Amino acid sequence: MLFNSIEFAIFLPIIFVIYWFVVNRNLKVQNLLLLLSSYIFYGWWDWRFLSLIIFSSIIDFTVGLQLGRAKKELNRKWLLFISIFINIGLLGFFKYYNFFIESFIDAFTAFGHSPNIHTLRIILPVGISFYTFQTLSYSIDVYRRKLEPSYDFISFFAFVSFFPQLVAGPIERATNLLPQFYKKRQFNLEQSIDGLRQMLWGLFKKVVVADNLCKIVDPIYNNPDEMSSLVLILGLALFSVQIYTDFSGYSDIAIGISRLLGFNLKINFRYPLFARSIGERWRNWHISLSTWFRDYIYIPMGGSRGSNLNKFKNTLILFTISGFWHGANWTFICWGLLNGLYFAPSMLRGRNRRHLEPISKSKIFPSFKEFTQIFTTFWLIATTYIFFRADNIQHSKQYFLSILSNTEIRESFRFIENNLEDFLKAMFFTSILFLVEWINRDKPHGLHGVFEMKPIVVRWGLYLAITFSILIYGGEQAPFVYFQF
Amino acid sequence: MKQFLKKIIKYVLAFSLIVVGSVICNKIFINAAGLLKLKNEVNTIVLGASRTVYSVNDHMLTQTTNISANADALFYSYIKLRTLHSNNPNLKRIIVCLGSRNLSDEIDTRWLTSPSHLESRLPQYIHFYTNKEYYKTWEYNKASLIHGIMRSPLYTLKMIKKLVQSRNLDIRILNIGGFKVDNRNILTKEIKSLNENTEAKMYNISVLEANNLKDIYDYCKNKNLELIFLDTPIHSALQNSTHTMDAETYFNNFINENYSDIPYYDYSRMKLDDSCFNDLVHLSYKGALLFTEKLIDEGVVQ
Repeated sequence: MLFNSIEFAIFLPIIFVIYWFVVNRNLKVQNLLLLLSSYIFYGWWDWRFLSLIIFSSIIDFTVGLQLGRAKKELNRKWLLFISIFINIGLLGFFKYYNFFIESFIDAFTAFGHSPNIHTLRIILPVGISFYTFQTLSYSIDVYRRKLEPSYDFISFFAFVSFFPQLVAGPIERATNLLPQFYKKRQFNLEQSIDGLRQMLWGLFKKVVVADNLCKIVDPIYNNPDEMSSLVLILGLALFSVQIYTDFSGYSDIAIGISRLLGFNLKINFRYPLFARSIGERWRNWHISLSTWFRDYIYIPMGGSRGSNLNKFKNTLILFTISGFWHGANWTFICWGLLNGLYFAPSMLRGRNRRHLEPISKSKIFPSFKEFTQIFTTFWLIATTYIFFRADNIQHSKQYFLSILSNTEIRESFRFIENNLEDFLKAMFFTSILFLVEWINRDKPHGLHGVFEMKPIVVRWGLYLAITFSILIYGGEQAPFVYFQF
Repeated sequence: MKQFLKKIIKYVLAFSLIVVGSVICNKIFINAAGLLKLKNEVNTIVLGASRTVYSVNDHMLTQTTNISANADALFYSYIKLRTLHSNNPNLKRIIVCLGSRNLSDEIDTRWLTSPSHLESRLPQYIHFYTNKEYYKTWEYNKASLIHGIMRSPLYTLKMIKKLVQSRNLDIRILNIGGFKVDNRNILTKEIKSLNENTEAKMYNISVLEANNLKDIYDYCKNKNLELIFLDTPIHSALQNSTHTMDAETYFNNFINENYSDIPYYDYSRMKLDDSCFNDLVHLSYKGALLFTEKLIDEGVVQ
């Protein structure tokens, strides 16, 4: 089920009413409702893959219980190994099996051999990368004794499959989300209203901005040969905005729905388009994944301790894994590596922890220096999307070469002229996005408290305008980009 | 919780009020301005899609109004027929453009269920909808029905602007049809593409459009209106293509089986030179003049 579908518009109010009015007195039943509704939500896409979530939940629940009982360190290690092996094994099979086989065949073919191995027709289960990491965080935290094992299987299963963030995050840590299933949840008016605002802003970002940008970006990326340099460069910038609005839109909706149900999820994006450095950009982009990698991979590897060479190596490994997490394709590996190369210099000079304060705090406009920093960071990141958005390395190479060779200016205007209406629409909504997010850059989300001081007519007028723009200018129910990961 | 629900209900009410209010406003504007009233002497209307838009020049006619519109499925033709007849009881004859292409199942995805098509059509037609049409559109595409309805307030604003600016208050303001001149000339390109593309295509009658045609037929029967089917000229290159001939055979069988009592004026093979066409199926201004003269000569329109 997509958040931007009619099915979901019917599904959510039904669950909300049953949740707060019918089963609100019994926590167990309330959690059971969340579990069942999460399974319905996921099964709507393909019920067969529910078995994977259930299997993963059973394994980690059992491992957690056994970790609680095991006294010997060796046994505990074995239990953690089982959890990691099964979870990563499932992810590896469904997401990476064909990639490894194809790469293996390519490597052998390059040396003149043709091994008789075949790829399989495997469907990638939606959200597998997200819920696998979520359950893994539980096993690892129980192993590290940071979290008590769960004895309540309904709560645990509901934690693994919690529908607002099941298919595209934020990837919640068991230490944050699981305890919320144990406590009775109270309805909070302010939190719920702000949750609705956050959902509204998330929908606006996804349906109005991202889906309208998609109409411009897709033709550019699909035919780089036919596009001029200027259009291709424009495509990079627009895709940067598209991927941000698409993914952060999803996160905003997920967090908003959770707040309606009395849960608090962690923030996943903190206005990364206004980042002043690569370090700040990565601190504010897909925070739940970055911190997951930091805590479970980067720090155990040694993190930023040791020699500069060690730091450099760890950074590149981290970014490459992060790229590979996105998809089984060399393009994502290159994307991760390139980001690692951008990030490494500031890390080696110890400057990656700069810019912790919100930009231009208590000022209306950024200073010239800040503006230059934002501009440079934005374009550096945009160049990495040559890899991220391309179908394969050949495609990204083609895109890059076309930027260098197709320098005919008139062609650029022709493309814009041919797509003028879509272009103007996309630009208009992108400007609104930048304006609203700039105004609210120190708040948890774009609509947080924006209109609080305004008279009700103005406030409601603006909410209604956003609602209408979602319904009127929304694209064609395009799936979220991150669903494919 | 009560406070929250109250706010939600108020918001939904405000939202619905704007949408429903704008649909009602549109209806009131249209009726108050008499936009659906045709000239007293008009007793014939022409319904159909782009082929009749560019071929029946009603400026040459006194008793006929061409109300066909580009890419209009028979679903919309039926809505127009019902609405115009209730506002113009003196209508006697209904001409519906009908050829194999109008009833092809390709129309379903292009003109009936396509989100962009539905969403652009809905605000123009929604104030004429009955429950049956709401239901049908829901069946065609649920999301688009909702998106389309939401566009009504925008349509109302445009309507108000047009009513204020326009000197002649007539049906053309509604933008639901009328004769147009096609200025594109892509005939050579299309002939070339037709010759290159010889791949056989399957022809099937659209079930949805067949039902809409049945609605038109039943309405005319019940209201004692004379129904006529009309097919407009197509270029000779297309006439002789295998696909066209197969489709025509299939289509003719369908018409003979179901509508043998309806007069069918088939001008698809009318001889016209290249200057009369802008592409393979649409007439140029010159073509429209010649074709309309022919219709007058044969007494199809006055």
